[in-house]
Amino acid sequence: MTRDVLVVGGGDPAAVLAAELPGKVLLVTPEPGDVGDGFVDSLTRSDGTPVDGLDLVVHALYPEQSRIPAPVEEMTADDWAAACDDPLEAAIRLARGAHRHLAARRGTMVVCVPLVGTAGAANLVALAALAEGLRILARSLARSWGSDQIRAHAVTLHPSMFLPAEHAAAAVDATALHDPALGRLPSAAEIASLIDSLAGPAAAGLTGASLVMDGGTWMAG
Amino acid sequence: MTSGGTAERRMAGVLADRVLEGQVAMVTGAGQGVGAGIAAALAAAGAAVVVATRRAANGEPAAESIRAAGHDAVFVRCDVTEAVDVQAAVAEAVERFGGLDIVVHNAVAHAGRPGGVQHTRSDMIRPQIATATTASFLCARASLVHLRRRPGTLILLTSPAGVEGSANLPIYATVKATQRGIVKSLAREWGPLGVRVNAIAPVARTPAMDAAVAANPSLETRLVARTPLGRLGDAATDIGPVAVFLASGGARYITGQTIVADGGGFLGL
Repeated sequence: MTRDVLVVGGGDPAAVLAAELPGKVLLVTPEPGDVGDGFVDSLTRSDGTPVDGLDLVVHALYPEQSRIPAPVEEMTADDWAAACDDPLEAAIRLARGAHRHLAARRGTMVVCVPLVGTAGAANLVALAALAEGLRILARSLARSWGSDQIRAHAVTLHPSMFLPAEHAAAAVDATALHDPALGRLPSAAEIASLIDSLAGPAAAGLTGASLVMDGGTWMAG
Repeated sequence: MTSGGTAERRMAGVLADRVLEGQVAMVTGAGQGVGAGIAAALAAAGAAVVVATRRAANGEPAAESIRAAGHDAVFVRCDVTEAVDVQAAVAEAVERFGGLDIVVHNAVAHAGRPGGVQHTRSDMIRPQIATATTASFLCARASLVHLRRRPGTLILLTSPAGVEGSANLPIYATVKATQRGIVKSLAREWGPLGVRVNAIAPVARTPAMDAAVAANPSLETRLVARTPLGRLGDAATDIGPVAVFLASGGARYITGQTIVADGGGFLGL
């Protein structure tokens, strides 16, 4: 079966996951303010046909402002809104709009979050707040959408999937006691494979999971 | 909320040594419920308390009840979603009492009718983000300059729903989770300054809880059934002392944590 897949988010990890996921993949890169309740309904595929039913929605919408380290006392209210509040609202509105498309296919929503939400990270407070909010949004969607046979998960990824190398290294050095147990980080193809499997029959009885795919660095539950 | 009477006497055993004597606290959303309970407990433990609420109608009586119990308290009008209000409330605390040691952000927006995220009224999304998430940032930013002098502590009120998710209050659960992300990261950012940041995830009988139970009478039965201690918490005597502890020297090596004060109902941390 060829899945209809929607990937939402500019830059990585959305771009690399969209490239690796199987199926008919539509990658959209909106600004958070562009995502209203009718956002999904407004989408068309490359052949001009409207999106009508989705098997998998992957959310990884993190604006640049979320990825720029800054101490809280140096952030303006606008900085905070752009880094956290606006993308958080966008995710909620994306979910609202995606509901009927996922219900039509008994589909799956996967929210990709950086591990800084779970582990904490100095100077990335807005990103961490956004990440934890999104992780529990996925869990809440799983609880409320289960009766529609829609499943929802959060996949927590290494900060290097979201942040420039020097910022990711700082976040990791400040929080990780161990190197990756596997001796390497998972590839984009491996992450895409996990997400694809979450949408498949092997995971039909799984919902509300919070999976950490970081090569065994934090092993955060 | 509590003032005098049985609740105050019950608290006395926990708070009698006035571990917060000489300290200054600001509590948002302290006009009722958990915020009022925490404000009363902090005051009973010796802190001077700024009751920061949006409405004088409940903020002033809350402050007065603390004063009536023999403690220091003042009401300051504060819409926590407005940076200028938060800044002014912090400034008032410092001006009135000479500094700021403890900031508790408890205010929360109405979550609306229970239901899935697709059923939430569109105009009730951003206010929930603003009151929990944005206001946590505003409180943190406004208070740091004072907290680092003492050094003091920041406490955010989250919820078990912010850990386990919620089918019927998904946006409430989401914004409460953002506060856990803020706590963990601010703890890392401010630890070198000596400022501690923690969260409390309470379940307590409050006006909001009473309204939820009125709308869904089986809710209380279900909540109590999963609670090993067999009852809903009391804001002043069960939740307030947790804030006192987190603000006290006894918690000086605790930061970045969420203390679940719910009678054991949620054990998933």
